[in-house]
Amino acid sequence: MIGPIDPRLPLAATVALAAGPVVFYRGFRHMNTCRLIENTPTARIRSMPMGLVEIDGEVVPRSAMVAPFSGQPCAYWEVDVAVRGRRGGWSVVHRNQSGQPFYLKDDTGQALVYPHGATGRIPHGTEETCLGLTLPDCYAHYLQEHPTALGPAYRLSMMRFRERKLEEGERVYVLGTAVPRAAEVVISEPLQATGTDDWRALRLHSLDTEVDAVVRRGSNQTTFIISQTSERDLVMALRWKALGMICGGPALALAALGYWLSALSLGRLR
Amino acid sequence: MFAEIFWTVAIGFVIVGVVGYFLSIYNGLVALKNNIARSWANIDVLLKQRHDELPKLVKTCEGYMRHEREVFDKLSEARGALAQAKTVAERAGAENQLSRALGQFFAVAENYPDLKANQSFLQLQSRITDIENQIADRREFYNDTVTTFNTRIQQIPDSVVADWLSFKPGQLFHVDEADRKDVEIQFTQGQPAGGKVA
Repeated sequence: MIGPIDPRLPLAATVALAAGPVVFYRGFRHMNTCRLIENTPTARIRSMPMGLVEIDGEVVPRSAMVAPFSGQPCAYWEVDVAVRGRRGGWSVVHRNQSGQPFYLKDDTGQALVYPHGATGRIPHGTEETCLGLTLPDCYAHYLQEHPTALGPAYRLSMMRFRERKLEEGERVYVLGTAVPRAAEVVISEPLQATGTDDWRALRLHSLDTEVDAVVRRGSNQTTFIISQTSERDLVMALRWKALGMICGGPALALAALGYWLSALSLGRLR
Repeated sequence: MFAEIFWTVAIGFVIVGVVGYFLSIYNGLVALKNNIARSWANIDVLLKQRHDELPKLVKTCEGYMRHEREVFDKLSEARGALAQAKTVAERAGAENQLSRALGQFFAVAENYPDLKANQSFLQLQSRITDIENQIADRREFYNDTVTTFNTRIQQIPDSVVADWLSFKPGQLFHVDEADRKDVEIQFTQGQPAGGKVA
């Protein structure tokens, strides 16, 4: 005997059928990124070649900057804001990262890193959950300055605020595109108008002349990773993710296809 | 019929997965092979810079070091050998010879106080030492790239693709036995501003 079917099931099956091949494809993309990381040896900063490069070193801030939620000084930050859905899961409605460059220093030299467009892999951070109607000032001010996709409707639900940051002296691994320094130094000029150009900022700017090269997201090679985890852990995480997606994508699509085929064969949709 | 559709799609995913996996291995190996060429070319960029600095160095020093013909000759000989070198092994040998000649040159220059006070010489020395350090870094980088490639083409499943495409292991940049030894400097008695490098 055939019972009534949940009306959401056909929709979920259709979405899964479409998403399966996408997940499968993205799994291969992750596998390629994993291989790219493994195939690129770590270069010393003073002699790093132009083009795709992998470097690691200590973070040195280039301008006086504070993280938006915690207010702590840092060299780079990324935040996300999520709201709780009906089923208790979180859905991210806003993501942001600092665009201010920072220095990366190793034993041999220093590079200027422009983090815009980077995939950040920074495990440690702060997380706070609060009711949208009674938000602490730091979050309320941030949301006033950066409206989310939901607009003021966010105040009706529970909200989660996450912040990850890189502080001075922390070691990071960067895989990005190295370009010569000269063309980039001019970009520091607009910083004078931001009000951050105090004595500390001036001192930090003086390091610009010692920069060996600039690392940023390339126009042809778009892989750009800033990671606080080691290369080995990063590769391991990406490999498992890729494997999961390569196996999971087809499984998802086949389950959805199986549902549709059985539904059609049983005539449930008539 | 529905079962056929299901199994066709399932087999399709398997075929696409296997083909995609081997394509990814192939692309990775090709990228690595090109990385080796790029790493080698990146050493060349620095060698060219060093090559251009040497005549300036010789010109600055020849007035002070008139009695050190042997050191100048060694430098010139090593520079010529580097220009003639074609294979990785020849290049490695010639480069090591030039690095050794430069080391001896700077060691001998230490005995000429007037030369050591010359700003142009100090700048050139600093520039060439800097380039030498960068060349050493890039040699290491080249060896890392070659090692990654050699390891990959010997590991399963990459070895299957590598055998099929007849990929050969890359050649590592080796250091001469002479470079492993310490430089010994002996000064000849009665020669106030000169030296002999052994």
